[in-house]
Amino acid sequence: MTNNEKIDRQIEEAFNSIDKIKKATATPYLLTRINARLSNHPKNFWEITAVFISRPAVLVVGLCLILVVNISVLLLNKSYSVNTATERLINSVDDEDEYSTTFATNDNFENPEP
Amino acid sequence: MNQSESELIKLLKQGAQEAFKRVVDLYQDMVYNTILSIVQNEADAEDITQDVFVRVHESAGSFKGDSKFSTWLYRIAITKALDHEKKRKRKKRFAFIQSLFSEKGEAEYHPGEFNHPGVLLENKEKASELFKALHQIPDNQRIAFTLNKIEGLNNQEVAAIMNISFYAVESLLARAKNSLKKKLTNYYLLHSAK
Repeated sequence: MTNNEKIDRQIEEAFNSIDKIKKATATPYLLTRINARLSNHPKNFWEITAVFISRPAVLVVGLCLILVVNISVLLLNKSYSVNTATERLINSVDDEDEYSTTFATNDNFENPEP
Repeated sequence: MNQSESELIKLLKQGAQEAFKRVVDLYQDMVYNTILSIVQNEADAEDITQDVFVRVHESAGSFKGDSKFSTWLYRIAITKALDHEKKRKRKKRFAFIQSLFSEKGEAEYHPGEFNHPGVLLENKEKASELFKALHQIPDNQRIAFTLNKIEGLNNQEVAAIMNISFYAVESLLARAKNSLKKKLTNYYLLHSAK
């Protein structure tokens, strides 16, 4: 018998091995276990939500999200405060110029004659 | 659907515990055997069977009666079993990544050899090889083959469960046989070379 014929025979035997297969039977306590599972199963919206939130994956993702939001708010505030400080500095310089101009104009008004 | 079955489903929809008990008694082996043939692990199959009946208890009201009750049950069982398979594959991939960083350099997850309890003793070894090959072929081919050859359903019933045409089932079964032959040929070639 050649190797190919031997393999063909083995394949045929493998296919035939399940010809008279019987059905596997579930354990006798299946109903008791299902009932136990049903009694522990979350029933209302809040229970389902609590179970969902307490999943490790959801917890980790939630914590990461909070961290990302916090960091981004911090960074945004930092750049905002730098911008505000620069703006204030510019404004104060402008005010000073304006004040001196006004002051000079007032001087001129109060002393119209040279 | 016969009259007693439709009466049973009606009671189940109303939430009658006796009806639920009867449904579990009637269909537990059918559900368990299907799931076991797909996941090829007895403990997992039992867990998923429980899941299936919990789902039946919760969503009996959504059964419209368009198909047979057993068809609806088969669909839930197959979906749950395939979901479990996906999770297992994800774990396997994660175990592989873990193995890259572990000291031993070995994967933590080792699926064991599967022996279906319904196979005759003299056929155990050959059946185990077939189940190993069955686990490696595409899902739709595997489901069609399992329902037809292991559950003993005819092509019409398989078509109703898989929601495909009769001819699509025939084609799937032919492709499943070819895929299995290829897997088994590789397996036996490898073993005869050793």
